[in-house]
Amino acid sequence: MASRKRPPSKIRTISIEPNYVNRDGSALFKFGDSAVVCSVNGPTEVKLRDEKVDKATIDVIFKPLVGLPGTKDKTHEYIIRSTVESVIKSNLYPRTLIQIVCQVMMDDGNILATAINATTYALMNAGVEMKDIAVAVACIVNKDGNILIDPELREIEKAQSYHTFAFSKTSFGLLFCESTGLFTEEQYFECYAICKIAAQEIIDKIRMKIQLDLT
Amino acid sequence: MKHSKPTERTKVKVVLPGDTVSLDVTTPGITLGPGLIQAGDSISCTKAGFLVRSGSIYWVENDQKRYIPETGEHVVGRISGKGGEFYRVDIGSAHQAILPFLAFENATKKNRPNLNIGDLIYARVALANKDMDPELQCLNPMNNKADGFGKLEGGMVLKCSLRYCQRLLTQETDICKLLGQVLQFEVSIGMNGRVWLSSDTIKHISLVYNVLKQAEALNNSECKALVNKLAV
Repeated sequence: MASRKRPPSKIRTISIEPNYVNRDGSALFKFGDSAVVCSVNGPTEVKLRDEKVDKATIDVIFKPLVGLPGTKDKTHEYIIRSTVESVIKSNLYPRTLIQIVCQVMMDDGNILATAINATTYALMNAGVEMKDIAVAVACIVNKDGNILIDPELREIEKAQSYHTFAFSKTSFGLLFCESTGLFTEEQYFECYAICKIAAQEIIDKIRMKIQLDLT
Repeated sequence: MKHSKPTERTKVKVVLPGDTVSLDVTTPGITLGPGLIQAGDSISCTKAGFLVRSGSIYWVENDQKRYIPETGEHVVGRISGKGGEFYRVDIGSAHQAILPFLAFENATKKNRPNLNIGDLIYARVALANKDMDPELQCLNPMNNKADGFGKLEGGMVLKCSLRYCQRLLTQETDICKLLGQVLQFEVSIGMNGRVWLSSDTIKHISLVYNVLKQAEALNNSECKALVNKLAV
């Protein structure tokens, strides 16, 4: 196995490209060679069937790199929706639809975390009012018990356990977490703590990017 | 339209949704604009962008493209439908706006305005409420005169970000003035991210369109350079 070039607790280079497609809001978010484009449309007109009288309907569409969306992509849709629903002030947009479309552009692991970050940036780009923002980071515990943050695809294949965390910015509360594989309670909390530090790094990066875009 | 002399605008800092802003809410006359909400004694942001201050007014400025109607704002709209008593107008907001037949100068039950689907209009938002469809009027409520509102003949519409419209209106970007020295044209700037423009020939219209579109990404000195290049 080719050894990891960066330190275990270092995330890959983040790059963000706002206004990537011509919509109300959009962004391309990259963790190294993993890239997701997210576009946000809304608040816009909603089908009568989906209309909610007191808040916005949030619709998420997740498109995989190749082929048709499968069960895994539907799970991603559900996760992204429940994560952003907790931060969007949807009561400000009653009887409207906020549509979020995520398209995977390159897959080198941590697609879900990349998609959540892309969605966050696209929502900010669209000017949708939110009470907080969500940022996501993934990590693995490898066979030797070491924690590697933001793993690449080949590292995930050999992992003992795989964890994805989404945090809110202000309180650093956990908005979502997903873990697969075998791990101890101790390992889990260690992963949580490391990802929390990395989330701060992502927030700083987002803030810098916003500043750069507007000037 | 005449504007009172704008107070100095200062960009305080970059904010993200959820950031708390240390402003004293008890200051008399403090006004919170879009992107800021008060929760108890603290003020927090709901949008990402620059926190801007003008006098005692604070708001968050960003590159939003979707329009949220606000009472009193002027908009460029397109007639999209016709009901028994009103037109339906697309102003780029979540819901289609309503423009009653009686909201025109000298309109009566018998004397109806003559607009068709696809026509462009310049109107004022008479009523905006998040729970209701926005309502427009093509008259100034102060004197019941048309005052420039109504059908826009010919020309074309430029879609841009809401911030650019505000910049054009406050003349923070004086591209309209600069371009006016080179050729004659007419503009109606809506607050909804739509700018209607017209000139004597199609060639000039497309020229104005392209210049205004390009100027969105330029600062004042770059705008000057762009117009100077045209003038030669």
